[in-house]
Amino acid sequence: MKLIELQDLKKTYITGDTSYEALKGIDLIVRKGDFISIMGPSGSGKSTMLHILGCLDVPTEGKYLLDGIDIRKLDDDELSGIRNERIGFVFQAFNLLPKISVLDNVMLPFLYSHVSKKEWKHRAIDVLKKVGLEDKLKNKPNQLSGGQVQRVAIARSLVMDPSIILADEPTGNLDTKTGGQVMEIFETIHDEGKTIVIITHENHIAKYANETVYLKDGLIEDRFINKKEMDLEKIK
Amino acid sequence: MQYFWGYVKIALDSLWSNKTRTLLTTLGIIIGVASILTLLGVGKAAQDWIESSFESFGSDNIYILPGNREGSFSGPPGLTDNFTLNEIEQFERYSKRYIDKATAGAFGMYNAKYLTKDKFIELNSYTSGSYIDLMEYKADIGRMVNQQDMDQYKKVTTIGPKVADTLFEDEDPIGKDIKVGNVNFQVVGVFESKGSSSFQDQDDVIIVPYSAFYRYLLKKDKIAYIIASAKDPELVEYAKTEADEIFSKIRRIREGDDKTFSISDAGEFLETIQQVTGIFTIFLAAIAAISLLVGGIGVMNIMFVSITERTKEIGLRKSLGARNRDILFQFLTESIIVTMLGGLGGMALGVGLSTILSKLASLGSSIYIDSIILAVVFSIIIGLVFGIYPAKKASKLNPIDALRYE
Repeated sequence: MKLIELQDLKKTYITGDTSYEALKGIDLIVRKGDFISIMGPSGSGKSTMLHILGCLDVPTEGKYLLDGIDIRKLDDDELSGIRNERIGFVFQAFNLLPKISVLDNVMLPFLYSHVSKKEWKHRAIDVLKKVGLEDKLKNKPNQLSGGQVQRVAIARSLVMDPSIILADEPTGNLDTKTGGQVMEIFETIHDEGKTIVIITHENHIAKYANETVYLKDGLIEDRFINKKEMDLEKIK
Repeated sequence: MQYFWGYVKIALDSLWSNKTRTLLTTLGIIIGVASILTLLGVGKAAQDWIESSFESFGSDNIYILPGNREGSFSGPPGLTDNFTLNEIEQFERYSKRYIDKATAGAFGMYNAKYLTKDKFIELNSYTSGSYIDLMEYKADIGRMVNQQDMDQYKKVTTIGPKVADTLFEDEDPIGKDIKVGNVNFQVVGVFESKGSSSFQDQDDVIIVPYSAFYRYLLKKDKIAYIIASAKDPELVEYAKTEADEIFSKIRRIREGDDKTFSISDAGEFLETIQQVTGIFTIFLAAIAAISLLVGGIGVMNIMFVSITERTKEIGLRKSLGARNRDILFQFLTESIIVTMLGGLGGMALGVGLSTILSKLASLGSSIYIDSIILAVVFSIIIGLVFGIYPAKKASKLNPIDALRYE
């Protein structure tokens, strides 16, 4: 089942007189249950692509279908609704609000949703259990380690039960060991049926995904299936 | 808008985590609102006081004053020009159509003495007994000076309760003589208090017949004013016209000539004075409003700081599904809470200050529910006005740029 379909997707940034073509025609299909990593040198367009996939940005040309919805036909409010209900973001810089508790951080997406307030707490606790932090509900983010903070962020991305998780270098601010633990959580989530797209520039991280897409100069240069078991052996 | 309390909670969390900043910002609004409320409160108290002063001496009366007073304030009546008894007699003879009662009078400031005690008082004298109705006097003990006393040039007086208190204390004043200037007047009564809210303290007054006043004390016929009433409050304007015609005849003033007298009614006086105090109050409040404006700019400034500090948070919220209006509402709630807190604080301070000031100036109570509502509504408006621009700016942030902001 096709979850995401990109057809000849282009993105051009115009600043003053100069224009810059970040994406030059991307065709990509993401099926439900896929775990895809996007790699590429900086300036290759991988962040732009993730922003467009996450409906934080809109393409200049081409087609983007998410769950069969033509994203280019939506207005700002509808895009916000899509981000809220169908997309879960995980950022390199974690982006938790420092002054509120872990629980409140995880419940944040509910504020912009139609989910009844009665469900907020138990749904938040459910996802925190999934990342193994159910005993840190009342803690503030600064009382947690980097790996724990990123696990809270993953819990937050899951709490609305989105169609897809988009992660932008989720291990970029973590050491190798903690990064590996975070990737294992992504794996578990994937095993439970979630679709995941992550950006990374580290090979060993990319190999957690079933598939890797290489971008270069705004175009897909290569795409291949990872031999996962073998790579995992290597890391351990 | 879906979870209003959610926004309130975010706002309170953010304000709480910057307590000093919040307090200082709020202080600007507190001072602004308090100064406006204080000035409006004291102004209103002054207006009420003036109004009740007028009521205490008959607000439907018309006043005829000697001299042309048009367009200028020429000082107290009787100073430059005066009426004579002869003119008053003629006036009473002719004024029968719309004018009901009339009396004329003169006044002076004297030292009144009884045995060893003395007091500076205002002496009011009248030419006819109708002053009792016109000025709404009532005897508390004894009786009021009456028509008979006036006809017989009797040296009698009805004294005000404060005069009685000071000169006689516990003694019964009836039948005693008090010395005014160098003339003895026999006290025949004490009138009921006219209340303390008036231009002069109207309880610090003694009343004597004009006949005796001018024969023994003034030594010349110098009437300062005439007070008259219309047969019906509706007929005040007609009564004024009648008085004007009669006096023009008495003083032989032809049409087009300058008048040597002027006629007005209490309502006009009241209106003018109310207008003056009203303008003055608004003027003062406008000055105070400048401080509120400065407070509002302070709120705006702090909102910009807060938004800059929280650019990343705005980006995050947007990526989690916040719409532009969610962000707008979040920051607007914050600025409104700040100004509302300021409004409530300012209200408490303002009500307190104006109560104290009114007490000090012995004016009436000055807590007005409409000023309180005004303060709260006004502070919410300030929050909206000065919050909308920063909030709008925050809501329009591009989520990608906001997320990258360091």
